[in-house]
Amino acid sequence: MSRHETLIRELARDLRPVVRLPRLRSIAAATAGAAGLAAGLYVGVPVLLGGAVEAPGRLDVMIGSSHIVLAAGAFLLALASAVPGRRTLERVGVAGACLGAALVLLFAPAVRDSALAGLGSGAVCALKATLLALVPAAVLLRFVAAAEPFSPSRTLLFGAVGALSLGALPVHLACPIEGSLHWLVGHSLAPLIGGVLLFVALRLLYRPVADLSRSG
Amino acid sequence: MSERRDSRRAPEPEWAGLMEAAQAGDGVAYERLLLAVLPVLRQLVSVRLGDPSSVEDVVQNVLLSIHRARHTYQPGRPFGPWMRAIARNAVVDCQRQRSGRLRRERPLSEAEKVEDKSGATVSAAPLSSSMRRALEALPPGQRQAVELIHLRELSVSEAAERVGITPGALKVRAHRGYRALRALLGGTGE
Repeated sequence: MSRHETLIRELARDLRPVVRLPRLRSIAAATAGAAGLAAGLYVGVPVLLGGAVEAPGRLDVMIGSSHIVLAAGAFLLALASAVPGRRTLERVGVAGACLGAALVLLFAPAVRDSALAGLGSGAVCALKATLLALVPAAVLLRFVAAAEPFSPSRTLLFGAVGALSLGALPVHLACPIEGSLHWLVGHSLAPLIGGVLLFVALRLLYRPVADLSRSG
Repeated sequence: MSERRDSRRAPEPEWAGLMEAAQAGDGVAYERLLLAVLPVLRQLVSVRLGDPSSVEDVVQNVLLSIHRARHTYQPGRPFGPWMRAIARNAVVDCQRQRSGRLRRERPLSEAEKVEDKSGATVSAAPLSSSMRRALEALPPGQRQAVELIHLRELSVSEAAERVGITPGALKVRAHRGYRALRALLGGTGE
């Protein structure tokens, strides 16, 4: 009997039933739902409390759509890289993320009045986006920790960028400040700058959450 | 060409069915599946690795990775791409480890060499105290497997020969040893 056959016999002898990982589309739906809920609360609560929200203009919608493309691409990439054998999906994710990032950065300077207006509050918008990103990021982390990613860091980095992009969307749509530098720092670069910070947090939490999900 | 592709994909529905049964805890189906994919894995690894001396070790790693990742297989999806991705990752891992080792290694000076009991010359690199304590806490068989493979850097076959067991059994001992070490050093096992 070869060494491999001995190993196979031992693995088969100790075999236990496993809990299957949820399908990627279920996780994608759960993440989108979580992000939608957070965005709905962020935009909806002020309206319910009597505040006025300005209807987004054409440029806002285009930048918002770019964030959605970036988020969808980055999330696809993160989900596909978390499990073996989803290379095609990974490639679609790469294409989506690159397109989304390009569009986000392309539209940022195309802004209206004073370029310097609200530059300082850019950090506030980026922080709000980061807080909103925590919800979809938590859903993603729970999934990735239960999966078997070849490179957890790579998976979590793309997941963090996707989550931040989703977080930046409602912040951008509800933001009254106009100024290209504010948009660039607070909205367009938020997925990249905040994404890296969120990635560090996710990476630190990954091992404990993975151990927790494997033990129970 | 398409005929060749068809013949390569022919057993995949059967493999997928066996994997589904294995996920439900059917050890017989699992053994059949792994024995059936073994030649495919060996060929795949040897083509990608280009180093015949490491092929058997990497194939064994692939079998362990398939075992660890079996919950990620989705019924209804083709089994082949899933398995091949795991094999590819194992090959990449092996190549990374090899190139990392080549970068780090330098010839030992005479002062750094010591003789072990068997007469073989080994490195006298010190272990951290926590690692030494964790190693000492392992059952003797697991400790020996970890020491031979990782501290003395013997190949699995050489280590198994020295212990007097099959390479497969040694690999399982080492795998359990790593899990226990991780738990003892602050993480948890698999």
